[in-house]
Amino acid sequence: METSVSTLTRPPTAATDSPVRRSSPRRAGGRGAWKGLLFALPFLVGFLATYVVPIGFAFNQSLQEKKSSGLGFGPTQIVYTGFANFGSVLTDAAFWSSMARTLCFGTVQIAVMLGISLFLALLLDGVAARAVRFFRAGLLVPYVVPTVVSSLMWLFLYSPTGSPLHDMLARVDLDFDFFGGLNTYLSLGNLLTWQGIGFNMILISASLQALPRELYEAARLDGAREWRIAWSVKIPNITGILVLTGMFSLIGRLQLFAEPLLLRQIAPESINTDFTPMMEIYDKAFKAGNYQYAAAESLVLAVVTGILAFVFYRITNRKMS
Amino acid sequence: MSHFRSSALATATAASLCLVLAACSGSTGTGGDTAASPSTKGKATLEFWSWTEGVEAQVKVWNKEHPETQVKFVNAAGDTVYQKLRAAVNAGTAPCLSKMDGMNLANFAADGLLTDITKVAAPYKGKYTPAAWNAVSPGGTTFGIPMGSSPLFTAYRADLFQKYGIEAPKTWDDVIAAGKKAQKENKNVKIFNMAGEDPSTLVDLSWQAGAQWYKADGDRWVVDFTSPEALKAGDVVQQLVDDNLASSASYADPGVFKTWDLGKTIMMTTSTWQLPIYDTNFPKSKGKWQLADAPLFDTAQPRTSSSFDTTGVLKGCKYPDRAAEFAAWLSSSKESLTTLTDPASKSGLFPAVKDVSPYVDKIIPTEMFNGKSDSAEVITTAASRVGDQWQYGPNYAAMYSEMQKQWGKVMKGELKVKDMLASLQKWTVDDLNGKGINAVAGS
Amino acid sequence: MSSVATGGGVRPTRRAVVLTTGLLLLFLLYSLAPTWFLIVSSTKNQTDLYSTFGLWFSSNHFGDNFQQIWQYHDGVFLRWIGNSILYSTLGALGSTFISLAAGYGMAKYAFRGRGVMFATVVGASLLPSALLAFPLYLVFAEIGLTNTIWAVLVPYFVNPFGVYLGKVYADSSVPDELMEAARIDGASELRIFFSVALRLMSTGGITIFMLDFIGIWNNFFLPLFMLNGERTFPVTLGLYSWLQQAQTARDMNTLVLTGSLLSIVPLAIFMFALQKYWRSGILMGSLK
Repeated sequence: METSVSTLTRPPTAATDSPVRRSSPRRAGGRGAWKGLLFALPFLVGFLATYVVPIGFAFNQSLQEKKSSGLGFGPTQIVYTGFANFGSVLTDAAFWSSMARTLCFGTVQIAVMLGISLFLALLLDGVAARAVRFFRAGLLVPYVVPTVVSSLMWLFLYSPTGSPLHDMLARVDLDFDFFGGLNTYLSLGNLLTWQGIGFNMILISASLQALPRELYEAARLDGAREWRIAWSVKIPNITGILVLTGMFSLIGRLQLFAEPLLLRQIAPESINTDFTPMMEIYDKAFKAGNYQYAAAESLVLAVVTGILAFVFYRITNRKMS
Repeated sequence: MSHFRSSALATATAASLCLVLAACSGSTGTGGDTAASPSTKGKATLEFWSWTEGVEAQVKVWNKEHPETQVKFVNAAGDTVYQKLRAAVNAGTAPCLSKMDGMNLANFAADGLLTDITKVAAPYKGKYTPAAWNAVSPGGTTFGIPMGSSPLFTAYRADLFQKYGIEAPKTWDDVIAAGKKAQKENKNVKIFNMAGEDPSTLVDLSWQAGAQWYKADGDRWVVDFTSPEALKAGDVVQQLVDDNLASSASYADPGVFKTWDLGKTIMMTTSTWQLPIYDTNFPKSKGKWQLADAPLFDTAQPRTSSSFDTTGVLKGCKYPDRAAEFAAWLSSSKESLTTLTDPASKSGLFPAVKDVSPYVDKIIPTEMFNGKSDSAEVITTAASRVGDQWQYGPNYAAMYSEMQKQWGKVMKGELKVKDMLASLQKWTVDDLNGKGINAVAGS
Repeated sequence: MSSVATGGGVRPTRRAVVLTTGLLLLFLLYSLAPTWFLIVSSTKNQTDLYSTFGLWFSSNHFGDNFQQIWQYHDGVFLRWIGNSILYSTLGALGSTFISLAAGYGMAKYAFRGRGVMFATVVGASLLPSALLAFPLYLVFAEIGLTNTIWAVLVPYFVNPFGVYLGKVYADSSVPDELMEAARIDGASELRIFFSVALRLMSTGGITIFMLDFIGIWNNFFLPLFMLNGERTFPVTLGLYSWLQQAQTARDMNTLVLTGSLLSIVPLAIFMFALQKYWRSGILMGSLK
């Protein structure tokens, strides 16, 4: 859920930055311009401590391996083995397939989620103001439920042995397996979509309300149907925002962890310990105890994320300008 | 709101206190050789991490009786406790003692994070079963004191066994035959359960079959996942999968008990720690259960398996003699065990000592069984026949994590147990050699 | 509110209104249904939880569960809620302040390297935070900071996305003319920031605070890595530890479910208290 906060609200026009041009900040080298740096100092120090140093430290670790001798219960030593860990990570099929799995799944799930959010936002655009407040509050409930709790609730609802949904289906002589094959992704997707639609609906709603009314007043006066207006006026005008939100959500999906980790409790065959890259890193580091390898995996994942972000950033920048 | 505020304040104070304590107790890494030092004198405080219910109360009892050796209890619950323990050792802020399972004790020992207490622990060796002592002495060096044992035995639905015309199985072959028979009577019924996240079933079977995945031989390891005994165990699993005789409820599934309560699965492997919770978790099948010895591979050599909890002595502990003394008191003195093994303590602990008979009766749930078998005898038998050949190698935890990945595929029928064992064999030998440890494949 | 009914154009047909409302109700049901399960479950005891239908009540044991949850381990649950409030409040306060200051500095002063810095901020805000949790853990473990309150607070303080928002808000709500005027009056730069700029940016600040607060409350990854010893846990991690415990000694499901329900309450109160900013703030941030 933290991702959704930091990725979904990301302003769509990160690059264009127009207000700066409007105002006239103090010139470089001008009297007291360095004071700006002073204001940024707490952040910069923190950034150094929580971004730069850890990455450097992890890089250092990723160049090492732990060696022992004899029966292996004597002293150990750390030796530098160059890029050996990276070599193993790059050829680690399980690691890359977890990445591909997460991205493919994420693309579909995010498309569905944003589709529903858009649909809801358009619906909200068409009801009275009092009702809007009511629906918005209700639809936002999942957003205030912590990830762990929402995963837990769905875990109980999906449970092959304890779910009341199974009991209900059984009454009409039906059964549905929430896991296995494609169903695993449906179930996980449902959980993530459930968490995300309310928040995204608010975002899209806000964009819709920011559209100049003249855009569709004319069409409305011409007697165009509401759905027609939505389809040919409203949606085209917010496509940019939708695409951008979608892409950044996808980057956020790469860190998918808590939800599948919890669902694994009831579907261990379908959700393995290397289901997502973060789960694999967690398993390597904290279950198998191979910090060095996990550090290398972390860095490779960060690089892949960086590349994706850069590509998306360029694409949208071009589109916007 | 005032509740919250005061609690928030308390947290802040506690946090700063932690910092201070950490700074004070931070030893400077005296290395692993403290075993040779003479017995320590004076007042000492030992920190002890555990997450077993009821232990904290025992610590208070100890502290009252032993003013010289005070124990500071930390409830270290959590999924990543072992890694935090590692971090603490590296940072010099480790506790003197911590609860660990056998697998992690070996892992910690392999990474040089424990103190060799072979000498100071020697006086306590006789109190525990050989298998338990094995678990704290990987490669022959003792790094901790056994805490508890969970010997395996069998619980089955006597009512349904009768209904399907089957008897309590004595051997694993009997289990498979009984499974087939029951399935003929009712195609939805499974004899056994194997969870997809939990390869411990294979570990237990291999242990019972007399296999030795790791065997210390002089200064090298003989790694043998494919010995005849190991393959025999693997074959049982394979048959259960192939003939669809086992359900696959995850033990982490909150509704897992329904599987048996509703009679979909009619037999299970169980152990001492689980018994006290059965009365609440089997509302429908209360009074319909019976206990039996764990199925055997060889009736001439009856063996069962167990998993052991231990109290490890960490690197940098300045008082290993006192640490061992406390750990031994906690898990072998009658005083401590009587309280800890009482279900009221919720500890789930079953002692790893040689004579368990005084502690058996209380853990048997009153309403669960039909009274037709002697539950106490099953439990004492299990405790007495835990195979003492099983050893934890230095990369056991990493191997287990690797096995866990493949186990899911075995359960789905995508991978044969035999192939998994062969690949684990290779993986383990390569991994050990890669770390500079002498290891050869056994067969 | 651009509702069609007041749009002045063609009024929607009755059927359209019914359809719209109906669909919205359907999704409302979807959003609320799992919470219903939680409410029902919190009234059941262990036995009923497994043996009665999960979406409807049986005999009421909410009182027992409620009592048990406060008593368990000397009230550790209350402690968790307290921890969550403490971490979220301090973390969000620190992060809001640091972000506003940095954003303001970047928006209003053209120092050398500003462009690079801003690009770095945008870039870093794209990195999923959990990605850095492991490297961060390695560093904090090295300096012995794990399992202290700082291990979670310090990473929360540093929030590139907050800095980005801070810059946007400073750009749009602090006029240069006002700063110049203050300078002419002899105010120092620090004073201008504290007494003029901060007030002007308060709506933006509340938005950052709110997003951070919720983000931290919901965070699972960082505390999972950093904290040990159940008395330091936030409520999310605490509930997870209960769920885990179910596998080892004691079935905690009734407590897990009741605790889950209770854990939502503070955040819901917080959210709805700040609902006003929710709209204006987000709107400003997302649309600039």
